[in-house]
Amino acid sequence: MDYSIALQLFFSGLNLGSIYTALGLGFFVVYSVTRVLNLAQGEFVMLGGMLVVTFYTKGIPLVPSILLAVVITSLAGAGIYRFIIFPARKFPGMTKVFLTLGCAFIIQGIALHFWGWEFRSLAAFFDTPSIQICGATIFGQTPWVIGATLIMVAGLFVFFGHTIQGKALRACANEPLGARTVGISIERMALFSFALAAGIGAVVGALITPLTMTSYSMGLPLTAKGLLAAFVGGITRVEGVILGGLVYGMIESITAGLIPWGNHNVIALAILVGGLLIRRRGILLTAGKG
Amino acid sequence: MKVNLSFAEHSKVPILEVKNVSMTFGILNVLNNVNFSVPEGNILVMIGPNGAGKSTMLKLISGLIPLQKGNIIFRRKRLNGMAPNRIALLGITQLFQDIRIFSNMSVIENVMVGSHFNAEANLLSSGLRLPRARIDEHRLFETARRHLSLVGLEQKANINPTSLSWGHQKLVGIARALATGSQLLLLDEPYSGLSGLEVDNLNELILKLKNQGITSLIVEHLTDILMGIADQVIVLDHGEKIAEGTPAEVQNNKRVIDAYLGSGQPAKEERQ
Repeated sequence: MDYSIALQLFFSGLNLGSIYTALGLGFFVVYSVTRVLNLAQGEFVMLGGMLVVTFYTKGIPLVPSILLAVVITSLAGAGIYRFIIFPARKFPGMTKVFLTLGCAFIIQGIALHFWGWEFRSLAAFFDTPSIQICGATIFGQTPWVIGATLIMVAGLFVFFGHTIQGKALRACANEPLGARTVGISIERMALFSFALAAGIGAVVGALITPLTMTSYSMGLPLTAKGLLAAFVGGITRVEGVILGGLVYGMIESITAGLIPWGNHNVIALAILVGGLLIRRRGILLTAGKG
Repeated sequence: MKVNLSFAEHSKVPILEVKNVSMTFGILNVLNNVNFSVPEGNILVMIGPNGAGKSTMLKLISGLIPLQKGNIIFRRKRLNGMAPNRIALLGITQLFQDIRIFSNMSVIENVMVGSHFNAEANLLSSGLRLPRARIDEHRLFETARRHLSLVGLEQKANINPTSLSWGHQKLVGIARALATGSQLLLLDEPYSGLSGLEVDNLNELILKLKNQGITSLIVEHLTDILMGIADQVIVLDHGEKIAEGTPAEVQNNKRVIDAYLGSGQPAKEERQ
């Protein structure tokens, strides 16, 4: 293989890996606190992307547009918890997972109503130009994706691993009864986790819109990919989410480069599912642990 | 007007009052018009055969089961309808038979989580590791270390609690409860699964806590190991309080002998 093609596949894999990592972070946050797989996470990404495009095209500068989108999407996340998940808090976990799936379709329907079926796009942030390195091209948006993902990863790693509030959040999923008896409000923590995950989703939406464009129907495929990547790495640890995201991104990039007839998505997903069947608790063996 | 009470008078002031509490699960009458009070700084032991309603009573006090009938008052504040986390913040901590330790963090982190509400740094300064947040976490760390020292586990601070013995895990649970600023410990069968030496150590710790003014309400059916430390004993049978008094009074009560102590054997057999 040509050296420049290999480098191109690597950069592309890094870009995709960062996107899947950032997607996985939303699942990680909610799962770490509530043990609920939030199948509406992809819709938060879509909502964030749509809102940024809407605000930006109305003349609001990029950064305030992103901040507004994050605030609105976080409120949507908090609303989903408060009005749909919270009333069902005593139901089995699977019921709550299906409720989040229902929420995904509701958000999708609302998005279709307001924005229609058209794809919407943005230019690379601040019109950052593409870079050429040894014959490989790095699209202008890619450094923003990687940079923002690194910041979110570092932030969550420090927050969950090294702050007392983060540990209190993790305690909720690990031992809810124990957490209650030391004064932790599980419901408040769960509300916070949904709002935080939705906010992360909105940032991801803003980041990927210049690369992939956004439409009302993009949420569920993103949910499927992000969730699978997070599970492959190990959904209960930030390191697992990074690993899963990067592995998935690299596999997808390599299969796309080597298999030109367009089935790379199926092959990449098949490899991940196969890997998960062999190592059911994820690469870091963290599934089921807090 | 503030009234200064002597220690003897202080120990007569009830920290907890349970008034006319009844509880039914479907057609089953679990508790029937139970009344008692726990004087501050005392060790109250609640005994009774299996199914007497002891654990249900603890869960009603800690708010884990909503109160159906009656009143539970902690330091003149009614707990009726209050969420468990709010009751915990008032100073009541329940310790479960199976401990409910946080297995995803170290011993000292478990204890620090107990004092999470004392953290002064906000989420932003904690996330960014600003100096204020670091000072705050250091303060909580030192407090947690003191609590671990009190229960004798300072040397085990950095290991995962699941690698400790069952008895030591129970001590982590007590240190975590103390970190919440608990003034009333609700101990549900704390001696289950402990060796003879661990039982003695736990009794010693409960007495040490009593000397620091911390009240304990212990639910147990292993009566013999508790009579030496109990200030007051309450006996429940089929959801009803059948006796109350000092250990000696209760041991000589005919109803208690008939209902529970009379057989004599179960407690000793279970301990073995």
